[in-house]
Amino acid sequence: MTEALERRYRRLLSAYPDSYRSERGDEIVTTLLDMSAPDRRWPASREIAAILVGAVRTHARHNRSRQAGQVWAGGLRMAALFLLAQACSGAAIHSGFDLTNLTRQPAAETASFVAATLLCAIALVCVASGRYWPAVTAGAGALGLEMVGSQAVGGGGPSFLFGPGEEFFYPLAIALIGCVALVAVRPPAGGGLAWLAAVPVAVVFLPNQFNPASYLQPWTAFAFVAACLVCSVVDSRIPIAGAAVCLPMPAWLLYALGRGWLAQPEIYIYIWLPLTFAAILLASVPLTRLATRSRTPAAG
Amino acid sequence: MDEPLHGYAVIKRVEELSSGRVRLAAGTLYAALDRLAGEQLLTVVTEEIVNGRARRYYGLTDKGAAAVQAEAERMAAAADVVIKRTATAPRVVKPA
Repeated sequence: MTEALERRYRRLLSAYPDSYRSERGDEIVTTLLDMSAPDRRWPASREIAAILVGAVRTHARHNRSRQAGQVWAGGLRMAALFLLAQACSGAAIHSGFDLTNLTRQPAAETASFVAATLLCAIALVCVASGRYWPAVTAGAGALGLEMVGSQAVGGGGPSFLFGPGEEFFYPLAIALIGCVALVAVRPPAGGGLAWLAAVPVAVVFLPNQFNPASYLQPWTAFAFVAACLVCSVVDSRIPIAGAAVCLPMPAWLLYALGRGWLAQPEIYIYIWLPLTFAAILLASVPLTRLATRSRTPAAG
Repeated sequence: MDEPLHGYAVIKRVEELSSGRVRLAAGTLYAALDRLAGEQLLTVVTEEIVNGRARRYYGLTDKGAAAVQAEAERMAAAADVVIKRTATAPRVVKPA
């Protein structure tokens, strides 16, 4: 009974930052078990609520104690992770369509995108675990394969822009630049394989070459941006990463202008709203830092 | 206040002193302990392992003891004002 309860409390404590959990986790679990009736198997609801609120407070306190350099380095790493998850989701969807023969593409393209999916996943795990050179290698390989695969279609070649129905590789290209920078910065790593769970999330929430045509986009992308803004309260690195994902949107506006898409009413949804959110998100980065600085005691 | 206490003992002591009205959740307690330790009002006095489980004992620092004393005096003064005003205030008698 106690083992099951302890396991459940430890699972709940994973909401706290890693460093805090390694320092205080055992002590808090001891207190929680002392407070529990001997026959209790599940954590009490008031304890669950207090742990979750305490975890949010602890994250916010840790956020305030980070130096600006740590925030930007961590934000860069998180941006690379977000973009690699987005790139992996795009390649996986492309592979899925090809493998089910929905798009009736040549085998060479299918093989390229399947291999690119695997390499994106490897790059994602490498960045999460702090191995930045292997991440650069895997990411560059994935980008090369996608370019080759895209040429095999015989269309107009790859586009690095974000547009409905277009192939776009900007997440991978920007992630690669980020990975090269990470080799020099080397922020602390963490998460490892768990970051692979971000890929299916990215399939739904981040733009890719298939979902702009669905009813989910751009609303799920707005939900992602809104979540980044809310999370900036507890972690200033998150809006930096969210802003990196939004970076190509102004480029897409120029692309859309060039193609005369602005005449179509629905294009406003795809351009002006993402641009507004991107601007808010980008502005939130310095604002968050200013707010953090004003709350930090002079000694800190 | 009297002696260093570990987390569970703090929860029990608060419950006793409040006659069961206040029962701290562990998450709430440790958030408060972290904040107070950050303000150097309390400190970890000792650590021990009991039955394979970690325990830390927390005690007030001099600054913490002074803060408790000052807060108690402030509350006593506030309570005194209310008691005196209640005793001297004219009673309102409602007409029948």
